[in-house]
Amino acid sequence: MELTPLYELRERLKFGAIAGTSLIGEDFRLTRAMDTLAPIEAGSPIIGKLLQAVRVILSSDCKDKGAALMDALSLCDAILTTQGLVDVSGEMEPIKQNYTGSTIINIPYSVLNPLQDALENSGAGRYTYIIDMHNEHPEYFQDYRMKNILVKALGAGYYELAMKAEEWLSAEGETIIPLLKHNFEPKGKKEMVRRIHVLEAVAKGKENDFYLSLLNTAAGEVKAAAIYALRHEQSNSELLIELTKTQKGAAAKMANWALAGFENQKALTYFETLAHKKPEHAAEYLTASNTEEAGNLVADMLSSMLDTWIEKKEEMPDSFRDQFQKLLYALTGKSGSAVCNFYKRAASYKTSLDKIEIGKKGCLSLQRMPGTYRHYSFSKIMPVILLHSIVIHPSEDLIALAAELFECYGQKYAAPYLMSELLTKDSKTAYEHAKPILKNSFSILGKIKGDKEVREMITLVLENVFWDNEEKCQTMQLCYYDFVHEKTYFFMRKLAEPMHLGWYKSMESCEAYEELLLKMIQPDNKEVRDFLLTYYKKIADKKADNYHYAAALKDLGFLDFEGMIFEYCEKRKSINLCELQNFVELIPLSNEKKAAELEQFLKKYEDNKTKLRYSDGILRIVDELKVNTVGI
Amino acid sequence: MQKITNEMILALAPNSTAAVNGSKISKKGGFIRLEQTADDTFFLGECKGSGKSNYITTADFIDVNQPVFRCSCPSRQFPCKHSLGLLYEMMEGKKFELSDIPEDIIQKRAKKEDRTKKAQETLNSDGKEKKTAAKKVNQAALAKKLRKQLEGLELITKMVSELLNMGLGAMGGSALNTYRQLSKQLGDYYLPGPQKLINSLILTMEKYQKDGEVTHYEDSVDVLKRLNTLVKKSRQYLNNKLESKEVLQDDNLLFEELGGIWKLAELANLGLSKENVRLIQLSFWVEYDDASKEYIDNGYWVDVDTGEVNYTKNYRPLKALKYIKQEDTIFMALQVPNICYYPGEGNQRIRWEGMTMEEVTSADLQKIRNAAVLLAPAVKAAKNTLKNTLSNPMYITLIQFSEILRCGNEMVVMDSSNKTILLGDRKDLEPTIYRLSMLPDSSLLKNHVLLGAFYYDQDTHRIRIQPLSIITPEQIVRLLY
Repeated sequence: MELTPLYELRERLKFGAIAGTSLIGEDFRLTRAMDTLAPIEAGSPIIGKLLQAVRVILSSDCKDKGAALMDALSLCDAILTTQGLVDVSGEMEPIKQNYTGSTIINIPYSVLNPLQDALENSGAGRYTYIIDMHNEHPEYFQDYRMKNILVKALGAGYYELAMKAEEWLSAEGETIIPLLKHNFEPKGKKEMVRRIHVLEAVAKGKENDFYLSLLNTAAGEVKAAAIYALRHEQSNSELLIELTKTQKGAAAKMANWALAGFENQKALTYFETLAHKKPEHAAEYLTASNTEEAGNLVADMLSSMLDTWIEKKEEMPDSFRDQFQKLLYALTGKSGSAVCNFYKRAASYKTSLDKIEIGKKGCLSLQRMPGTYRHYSFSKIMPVILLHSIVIHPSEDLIALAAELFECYGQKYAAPYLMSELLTKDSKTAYEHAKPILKNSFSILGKIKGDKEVREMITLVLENVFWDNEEKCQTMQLCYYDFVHEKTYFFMRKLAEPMHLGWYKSMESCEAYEELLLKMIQPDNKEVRDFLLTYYKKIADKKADNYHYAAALKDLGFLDFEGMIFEYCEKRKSINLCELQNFVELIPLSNEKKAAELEQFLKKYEDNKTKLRYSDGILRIVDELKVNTVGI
Repeated sequence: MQKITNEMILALAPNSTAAVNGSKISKKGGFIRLEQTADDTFFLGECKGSGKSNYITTADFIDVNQPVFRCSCPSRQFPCKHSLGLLYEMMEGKKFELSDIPEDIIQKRAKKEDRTKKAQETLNSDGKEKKTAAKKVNQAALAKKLRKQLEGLELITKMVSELLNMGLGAMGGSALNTYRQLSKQLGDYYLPGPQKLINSLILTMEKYQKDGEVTHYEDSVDVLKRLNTLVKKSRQYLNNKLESKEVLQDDNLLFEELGGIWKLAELANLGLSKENVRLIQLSFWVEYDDASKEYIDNGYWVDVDTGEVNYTKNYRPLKALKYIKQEDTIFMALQVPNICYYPGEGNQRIRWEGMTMEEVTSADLQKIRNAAVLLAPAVKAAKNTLKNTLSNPMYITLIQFSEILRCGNEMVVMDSSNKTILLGDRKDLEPTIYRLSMLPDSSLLKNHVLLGAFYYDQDTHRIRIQPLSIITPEQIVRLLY
């Protein structure tokens, strides 16, 4: 049966409903559709019935044209449904599976739908919900229905969530690649950029052809991301050099950043030329490279600027300082003979260059440097850069340089020296070598007088030492600025061995290091733990503010917490209820005991007939403790 | 000890939070006393709570299909977190001391038994309710209600006629206000069904005014078609009833379409029930109906013995959201002592009270697979159902397929007789087609059984299937929930 006239008739009836039945008689297309169907009317009773129904609408006798129109439409739709096409023609092929790394998990609607909703939509609290769900039920995220949702979450407006999705997908391995490439929109936005980031993380240069394919189709930030992804294949050097010339804005910058990571002659020649033409640009891009060639180039540029500086012996303009700073940023993490020679030359000036001011501020800033926002004179900044370089790239020449500079210039280079000892020597040797510096420094610190600069240098080392619970080791942690993506992240370097007890004992005398020592607890070193337990117990007994020390004591395995909540309340002049709540949660006692101590405190005030301003808040905490009587 | 599973607890819980809280109480050692009777029908737990005295929580399994939970806590949730906590204790196999049944429980059991006896006394041997004097229906009141409904239908007819005379294109601003008032008025005429359709029409036209999308006209025409047919058929049905003076409820589909609510006993009285049915849920989803301002939990179930696919609907109006439990996906098989069917064609709505949960066995899956049909008969049945204006716009059934393939940008189901049909995503349902290409194993797309929703796609004039689940000999792979 030829259905086209029926479709046309249905369309006209629908327009009749939109335009109104009062005008339907004037619709010549409706009449024409009826005329087309008329020849089959006799042979098909149902078509006859339909045409009759339409004629009723058009007749002037019809009292309710609306109802007649709906009757005709219903009949027409019934015919069309029974005549609905079913069979399919055309070439058929098996469905290509986009992702084979998942499993089928029985997740009920009440879990899957809110999770899906939280990943796809916006709203407060969804990030915590997703993270909690991921921690409690990581298997849910392995369900085949979740993978596509996670890919969509790469485009989430909430930055932290998008980054989490990127992190989780990056851990999937290469099986995720087809899904990332499926429905890829080269002119898309953040989701597509992050898809490229995940592709880079799981496939690196293996997807080079895909990145190349995007050069012609992608736009904006997606194109820039695709260009940056070309850094995984050295063979892209020429193309990237070409792109630095043909592209503009972010795309051109990314071509430069990508080239900066290459260790080949073409890239080096490119940056040598750039260093002559636009040294400030070369300085910025070379931060991305840790190759010896890049180090040589940066060191040469710095030496040349230093020559100008010494030669003029007068105040240098802001532009000079900015460029000099950029080169100092670029020096971080680099090694090689030229770099070491520059450090030596810089050290040889001692503080003489500090007298010559650079720009209006008169000192160099490490504002964009890893882990610090401080301003330094030239003589102070060089040891800090060497310290960071050793953490980022502990090459033999830098380690040797730190020792050499410490020997020649003493305490000024104590920080890089101590750092290199901690990273390369066993626990005992590192301490033995550090002992004279520590003894000298802490005896000064204990009396809060002496060389402030030395204290700062030692603090630079110790303030970044953390215990890594996952790896079960002590690490040096630096906050590192990623110039390419313009974000900061943490850089971790494992110490050769956990720090010797001697370090802790040396620091005991100095109050300024009380909180710093908290970070340096070694949970599996009994000697250190016992020492710190005695140390913090003394402090907690002495001080009104035992909040921080209680946490330390708990971490150190202290058991006798009875009376501490009462003491916490009693020793304080005023109580911050939020802090009290946290403190109560922290203390490893049963909730009944905790409630009893708080009640004891309240009772004391009641007996003294003193009105407590925050007694209602404390009572609320007591009530909550009683509700969950089982406790921690 | 009664066998308790986590899924059973989740099914009993009023919401997932209550279940989580129950689990926490159990894990934290909240129960200080656990007791049970020797006959394994009664369990008691003494639980610490926020009140001065401990809560006494009991679970009475004298009727395993409908366990009764009682708790001395003041919670209005039922069962409360303490009752659920007690179930978690049972699930964990904690030690329950033997004890006697408390006196008050014996009395409560006796009262319940009396009620059951009385209810059974009112039933005939065939399970239908006896016509007793006490149960005599006020026929005059019923006739009055039917006349009122007829008045309301006249009002709708007038409105539809006026609307179509002017055309949908003129249904804006002030006209919409008139229809809103009419919708409110219909509340006085016992016509919640047509009232919902008018609300739906208003909402569609409001959407059109906002975005100017012409597809809203198509939706409006669909609503008007349904409204027109409902009014026309209902008028005839109600007039017939009044003329024949048979005003009592019958098994006509229009009762529910007009907004009537069935009681299980009424369905049973009409013989629309069946005993000892084994059900397995094959698909589940929740939709929000803006016209009636309610959430609807949809579950599609297969009767393991007959292979019939029917559905449950749980209506949760926004106003009563916190008092009505949301239903959920169920992965277990349900053994239902008595199931009731709503009148209708194609997939029928089903309801029951009381059931026990059991693991889905490979024999169950085999039976389900055996019940699946080839495309040709399935399409025929689908067309027969879908052509009716008042029927559900989709027909869900089990189809045997030899392969699911790609044809250009579309996906196709092919059966063993090489018949084919296009897959599609219905606009009212979450998309599922893309999930076929996400499945971890491509063998799932060959020689299995598909639970598919047949529907008519007006844009392409085709019958399509939205895939909902794949049933293999080992498992049910849900493409939705």
